[in-house]
Amino acid sequence: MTELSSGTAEVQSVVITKGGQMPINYRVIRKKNDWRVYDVVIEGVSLVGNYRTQFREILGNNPPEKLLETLRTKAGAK
Amino acid sequence: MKSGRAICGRRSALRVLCLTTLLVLAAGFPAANGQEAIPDAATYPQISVPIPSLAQESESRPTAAATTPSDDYGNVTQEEAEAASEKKASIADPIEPWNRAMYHFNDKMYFWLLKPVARVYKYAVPEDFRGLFSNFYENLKAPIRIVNNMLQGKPGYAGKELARLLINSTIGVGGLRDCAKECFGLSGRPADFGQTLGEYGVGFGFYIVWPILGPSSPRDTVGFVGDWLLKPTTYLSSNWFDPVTVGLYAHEAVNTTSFHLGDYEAIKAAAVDPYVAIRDGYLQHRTEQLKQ
Repeated sequence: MTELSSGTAEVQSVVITKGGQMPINYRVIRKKNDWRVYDVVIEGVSLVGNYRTQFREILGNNPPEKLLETLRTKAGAK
Repeated sequence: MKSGRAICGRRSALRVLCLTTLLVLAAGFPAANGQEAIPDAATYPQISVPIPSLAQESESRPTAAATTPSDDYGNVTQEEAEAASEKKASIADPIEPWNRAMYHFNDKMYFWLLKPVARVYKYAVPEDFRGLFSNFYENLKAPIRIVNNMLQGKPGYAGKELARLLINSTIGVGGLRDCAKECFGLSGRPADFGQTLGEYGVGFGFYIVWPILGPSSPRDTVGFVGDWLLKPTTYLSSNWFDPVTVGLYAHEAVNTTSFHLGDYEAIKAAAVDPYVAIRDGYLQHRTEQLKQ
């Protein structure tokens, strides 16, 4: 476990399978007396960062409504 | 190399399929990169982050998000998020139309060729055997890790990788078992030429998706050639596209994929724009490797 800043930290783990191993780190933030996961980093790839890039790409080429619409469609489809 | 020959011999049927196998290994857009691209995928499905709240927190409406927590997690403010993830790297994508076309090509290769083949293979070959093969192929790539750990100024890891090669090739029966880790707890460090170039300060350049090989950049493409030159299988034959070499590569792709069926599907399903998700995954993963 590594401290990222005051109030946030990263918990490291490795998943081992017969086909190899994969580091999965959980970024946690202190909320009152709880630690809550706010990001998951797999093999160095942050989930939040990954979504942020996707959103930025959409927002760069379209009006914000387009992103909202895309997300609503996606959420509805599941 | 005896065991290598043995495998080829058994799979001599692949010779007939030489051309198709070439395609198979391509499909390895996840598999061709071996340990690299695939793992990112595997993890996505297990996480359910409330997307709407994320959307609020990112650029769109920070103030609204800060005052009205949207769920019992409260909100991670922009500041807190930035603190955790250092300045975000980005990669230029000047040839996006080509890249998107190749992404779709590789996508089809996966669903139409690699996945069906890997599913049958997974059904036919017990997991333990597939594990032996995956150790075998990892062991063959030891020279790449030894040389590049050395070039990256990490002689300790180069030594460990050398010890692993010697132990696994002998006690591990030609690399079929990872005895170095299982018997002696000796782990190495992945290292390749693309990483070495990055370590020397060479940037990605831009994003490029190769048919069959998948996400890359000019830097990693040069690195790929360097790695290829250090692979013993490259020298099995003097021909460029030897059936045995191609067959081995195809088998490796199928074997690796058999452990990761469903990973790519999960990434794709979770993504808003799978192409961008994978491009960012490539960038983040390769950037992270340099820090280790």
